[in-house]
Amino acid sequence: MITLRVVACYKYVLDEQDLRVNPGDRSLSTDRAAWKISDFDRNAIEEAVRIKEKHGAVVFALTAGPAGAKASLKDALARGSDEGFFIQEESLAGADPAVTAKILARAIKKIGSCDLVLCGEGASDDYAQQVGPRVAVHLGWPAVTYAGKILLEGGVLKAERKLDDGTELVELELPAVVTVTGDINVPRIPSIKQLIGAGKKPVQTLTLADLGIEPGRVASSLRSESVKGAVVERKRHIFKGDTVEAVSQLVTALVKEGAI
Amino acid sequence: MQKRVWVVSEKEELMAELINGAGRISPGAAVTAAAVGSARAAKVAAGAGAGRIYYFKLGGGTPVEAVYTRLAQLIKNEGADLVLVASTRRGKTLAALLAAEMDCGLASEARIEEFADSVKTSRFVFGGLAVSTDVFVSGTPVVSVPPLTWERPPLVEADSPAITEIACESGRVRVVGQKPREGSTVNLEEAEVVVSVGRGVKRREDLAMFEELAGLLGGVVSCTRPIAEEEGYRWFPEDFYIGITGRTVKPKLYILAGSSGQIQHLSGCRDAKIFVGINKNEEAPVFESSDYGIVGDLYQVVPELIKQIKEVR
Ligand SMILES: Cc1cc2nc3c(=O)[nH]c(=O)nc-3n(C[C@H](O)[C@H](O)[C@H](O)COP(=O)(O)OP(=O)(O)OC[C@H]3O[C@@H](n4cnc5c(N)ncnc54)[C@H](O)[C@@H]3O)c2cc1C
Ligand SMILES: Nc1ncnc2c1ncn2[C@@H]1O[C@H](COP(=O)(O)O)[C@@H](O)[C@H]1O
Repeated sequence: MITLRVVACYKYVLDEQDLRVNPGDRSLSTDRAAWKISDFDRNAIEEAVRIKEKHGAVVFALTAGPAGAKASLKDALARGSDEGFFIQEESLAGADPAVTAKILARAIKKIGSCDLVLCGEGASDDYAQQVGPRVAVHLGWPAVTYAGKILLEGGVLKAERKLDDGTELVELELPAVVTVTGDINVPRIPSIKQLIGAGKKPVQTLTLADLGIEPGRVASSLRSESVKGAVVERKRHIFKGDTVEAVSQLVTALVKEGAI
Repeated sequence: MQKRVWVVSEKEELMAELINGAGRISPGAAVTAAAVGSARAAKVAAGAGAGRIYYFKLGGGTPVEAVYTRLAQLIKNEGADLVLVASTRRGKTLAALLAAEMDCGLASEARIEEFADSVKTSRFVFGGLAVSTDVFVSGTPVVSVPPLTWERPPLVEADSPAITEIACESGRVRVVGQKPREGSTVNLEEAEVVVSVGRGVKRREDLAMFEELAGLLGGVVSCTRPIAEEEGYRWFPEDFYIGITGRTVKPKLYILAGSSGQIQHLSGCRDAKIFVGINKNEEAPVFESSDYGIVGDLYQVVPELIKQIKEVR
């Protein structure tokens, strides 16, 4: 039996829960923000590992980003991936998905003989929902997006797409790119043993030059003008303690506001 | 100079909206419509005044997205200053495939801020915490536009010689079945009061007390994303949750109980006039975004709230 080669693409992102908007200029303060593997990418990795458990596969965890993103590989490998590929490129911080997709497609070619590429439906930071389908175009492969369920039978992939007006069932031959929704599975939390084991798994760090990409060949067609906080100021009257009393304060306030 | 705007959709109401929008952002624009898989959308495009219409007739089993190579060719041949794609999930995928094929930039689920010599867009990032403003500096700008960005004119279907039919046969992806979503008759978008629940609610039966609360206030019950789509929950139709990837509501009163109140959820109700949060954890982020909050167990707070509202009414 031929072992499937499955790539799980993930983005290492700032945890949006930790970001704060600076009053005044509404700039974002990121100094206290932790980094995480983007939410739905954890589903992509989990799905790749489930395919391995069911059908036998080698799972490659692939990420592209600035030097700091290398730290994410341990987590990605602890989740059950076999090998890590890190494409180091400083300009990828806050990059255009068009640029990311071109780089990832080259990396997937470099990994070689891949059968299936899994991505998240969208990254938690930009939620552009572009990279998966764009990678497919660059590889010349078909794309299936928003898969809430996938099944492999022989070389045929069956997927249930979660769309606005219902589900669409599709079939296609591998190789293919599939983007997964957050409800395709519940990602397992890596155990201590898996975390230790992850340190022993192979990781390759590559630059754009290693992928044969000349500088300037992957320029963005979008220029970022600004990123500004968009939070709404609220009154923040918080009642606690005795329930009856707290509810009474709330009801009084709502009556005064004319809300009830 | 007259701008050339392409509008792309598989849905007739969104087609009409995009054509209206194209006229808003560039009065007198020459509009070319690509109606994907819907003859009706093509007729609506004619009725809404598109100068030229391509109707992509899909063969059996052909997904909407399969038209992207053909569409890219047409746009390249005829030229465009802007391509607008209605951002359903199919539309967003088609837009990404199209932009990659044309080697162009794409702003997903964005608003057009400027359409002059260059195109400037704005869109939410970080789950709705921030707005990113970007300018297209090269290539044909492709923008996917959320529904209800512009007013939706009444749909008028017209037969027109401007409609060119293009047959599109299944590519490598074959559609083998569809399961339409069970429609919900509740009109969330127009509700004046919305009571939403999160994972702090233990059992499906417990929704009854929220129904009662919403009923008292003349409102409706909705939820966070996990409650609609996560295994073990799925208590509501899948498209019924509020948030950046779900529905957007603008009620007078929004009550959120048993939810941490994360930014992705709050993005769907940021325009609520009054926001009330109920959570047993004082540290929950929901309180930062509340006008009024109660720290407490929802199983005590909600019945008490129902009781006291009945008393003041
Ligand atoms: C790209 C992306 C897009 C997303 N889009 C959306 C979206 O559109 N909409 C959306 O809703 N989510 C969205 N999410 C998910 C979002 O980030 C949160 O994970 C989700 O909203 C949390 O749901 P919750 O508040 O119900 O659950 P939790 O975060 O688990 O919160 C449960 C809360 O209930 C409280 N609680 C428990 N028991 C009680 C009790 N007895 N009484 C009172 N309080 C109690 C707890 O203290 C806790 O704060 C998105 C995520 C990503 C990554
Ligand atoms: N820098 C990156 N490295 C690896 N994978 C990525 C990267 N950026 C995006 N992806 C993948 O593409 C998906 C969609 O990203 P986006 O188009 O930015 O919403 C993500 O969920 C990831 O699976």
